[in-house]
Amino acid sequence: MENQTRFDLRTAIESWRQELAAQPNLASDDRRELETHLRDAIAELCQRGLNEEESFWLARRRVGQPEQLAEEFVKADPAAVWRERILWITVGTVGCYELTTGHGVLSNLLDPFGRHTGAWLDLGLFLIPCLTLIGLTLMIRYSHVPRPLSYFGRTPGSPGFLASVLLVVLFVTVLFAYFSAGKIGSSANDMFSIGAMIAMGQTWLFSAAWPAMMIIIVFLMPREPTRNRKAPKHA
Amino acid sequence: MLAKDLVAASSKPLVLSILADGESYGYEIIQKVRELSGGHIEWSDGMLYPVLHRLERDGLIDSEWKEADTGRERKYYFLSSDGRKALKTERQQWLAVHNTLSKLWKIKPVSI
Repeated sequence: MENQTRFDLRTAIESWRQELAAQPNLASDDRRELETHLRDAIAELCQRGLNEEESFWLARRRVGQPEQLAEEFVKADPAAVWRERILWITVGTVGCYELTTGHGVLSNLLDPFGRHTGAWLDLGLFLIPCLTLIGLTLMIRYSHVPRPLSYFGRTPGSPGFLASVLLVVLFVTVLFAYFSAGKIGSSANDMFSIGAMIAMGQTWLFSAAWPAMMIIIVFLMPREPTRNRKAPKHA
Repeated sequence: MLAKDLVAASSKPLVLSILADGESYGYEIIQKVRELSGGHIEWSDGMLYPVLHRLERDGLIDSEWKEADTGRERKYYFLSSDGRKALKTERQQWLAVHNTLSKLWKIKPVSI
């Protein structure tokens, strides 16, 4: 009996993309550029009369081994990968701050002292954004960056812009958290609750020091030579 | 087929010369080199990009992601003003080598 699996070009390209993504020295922009090259090569080979499977394997061979490619790319610009990593670490640090602060502010605004909902509100407000963050991290890890986020990941040429956006987000959150804590504190009817709210407000304020430090690092980071004026979309 | 060292050394003037005619993308540059050299210069496809990135880092070329007619996006490279100056120097140097060899091999030299 014949046991032949049908070749699926999309799956094959996806698998190749995963191999590239496994190379820590290849930045997302490099991977995307290589993918457009692979797709161009496949299209041309198909036009010449080869079938999709033959075209894919030939194009893949021509592009080269992912390990060798990574070595060559890192030689050309050794700092490129680190620039991208620092950007994502900063986005992650600010994201975590937003998550913890947003959780605290919302749970206090909706049910100031947990009198009505108990732990459920806390759990819900924590789990939903937390699972969203984990999901996004996994998607980014496997090169499935959602379009709105992809803009951030592919702007290594303008880290100053990204840092400015993050700084505004951080500043607004800190102000919002601080004043909302003060507002709840003033509505509390005993000294213990007032003290707890002030302490919480201060914690939110001081916790902002880490993301703020990462933003400063992005501001000080050496600029990439590329002057891409337009962020790439999916190939 | 050309020796590896010569292929590597000629990559800069070749890329700059191709881009002097107008913007282009990696795949097209490779195809052009293959076609112009009659298959004598064979670049490994993936290895062109580090060369392009190095030239970009040196400020000789710039890049821009643009949508092609097919609807897919490609990273187009184009020559910068520094790249034009570098191409002029490269041209003089390569022609000097060419003329020296031409005299040795009794072939008509070209004007630099």
